[in-house]
Amino acid sequence: MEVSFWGTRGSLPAPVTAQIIRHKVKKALEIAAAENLDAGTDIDNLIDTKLPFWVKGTYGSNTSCVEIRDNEDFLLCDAGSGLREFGYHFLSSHKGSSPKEFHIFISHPHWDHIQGFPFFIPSYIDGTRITIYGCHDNLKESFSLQQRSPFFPVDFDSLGAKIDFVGLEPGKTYDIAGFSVSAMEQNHPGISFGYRFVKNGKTIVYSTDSEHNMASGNNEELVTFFNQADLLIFDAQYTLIDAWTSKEDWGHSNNLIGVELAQKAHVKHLCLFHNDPVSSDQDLDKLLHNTTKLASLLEEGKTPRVSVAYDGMIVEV
Amino acid sequence: MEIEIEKQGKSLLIKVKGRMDAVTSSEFEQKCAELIEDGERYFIVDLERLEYISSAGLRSILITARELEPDQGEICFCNLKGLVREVFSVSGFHLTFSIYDTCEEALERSLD
Repeated sequence: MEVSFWGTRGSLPAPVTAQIIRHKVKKALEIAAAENLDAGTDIDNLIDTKLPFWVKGTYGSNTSCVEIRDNEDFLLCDAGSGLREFGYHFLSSHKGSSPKEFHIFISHPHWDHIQGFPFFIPSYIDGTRITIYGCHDNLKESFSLQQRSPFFPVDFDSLGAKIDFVGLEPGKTYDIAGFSVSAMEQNHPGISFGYRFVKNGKTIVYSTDSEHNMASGNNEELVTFFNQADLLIFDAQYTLIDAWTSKEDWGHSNNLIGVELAQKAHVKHLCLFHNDPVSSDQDLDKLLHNTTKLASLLEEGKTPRVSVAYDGMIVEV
Repeated sequence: MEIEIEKQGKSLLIKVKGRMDAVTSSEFEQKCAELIEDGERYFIVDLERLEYISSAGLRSILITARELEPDQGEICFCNLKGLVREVFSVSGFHLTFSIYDTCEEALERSLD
């Protein structure tokens, strides 16, 4: 099973600028010079072994969209601007094949979680089937609204695909596309829902836009929901102090709570997600370094593998 | 968790030993609340012998800081080591609170 991250930013897209690219190129050249780069240097090896991720890559720009892929089934978590990238990738890699069915699970209808849908090209193709799942009763209205004039030129009801909305109830387990799927209500303005996907003994939990505030304490229900996950995708947009003070009630969590919950729930891989749009690639490299170190120091159970999600990241589960 | 308290001028030097976690951190919170109730306003918390702190411990610290705010009280920290230093850094507490390398420095520069 493969999990592909098409959009990992929180709140709104955060594009890379020319100045940022220049800064990366300058740093790369400085490192290359220090390594005595010449015509005989193995450039790929230099990039792979000497350049930090923030220099050779980027955590990316798009808002939430994660693909869970197993055989021919397409499951997607959220329809942020990353959905556009997924759509183009799908079309380029499935040329000539018959239209497919897509199952999209929506954590909540805040704009950064649905804004990619009007740019999801397969939705314009006759014969495509799209099922949108969620626990909010206003999902169809939210998707329609963002495509209504004057916000967008193509009305939702005129799309070529057959689009169905299926309401889910938190606490119940559903069999969808071969996965056992359950949802859990989360603390977020307007409420959000996390999803737990289980198939062939592998568990993936998608838990974004979920605040664990000072009053939360030990949330045993969450630990149960995360229990033994092979991959936990976890909202870590802020630092703990910001989440509990200046950004209290904004609906997001932090890496320290993520590590603690992952350790209590015996999670194998903690993936920090919903990266703050104000965080630079250097900031996110530091977040990864600090969180990995923290996970090795805190002692509540086994230390999980830690990663920070980036657009284009693929995790084998 | 063990807590020792020494009066140093107008400040209290609070030495914390052991663990501040979900089980023990309420002791710290309760002790500080009693001290505030008694009229104390300036806390220097010596964390040299604190072996472990979790988010529950940070929560207790933040609650104490908020209780000190209305009377312009202050809480600062000294002697952070290992895991405790790391947790303060990762959580952003090191940017919010004054942190000193030694108790002497804290007493000299922060509160008196």
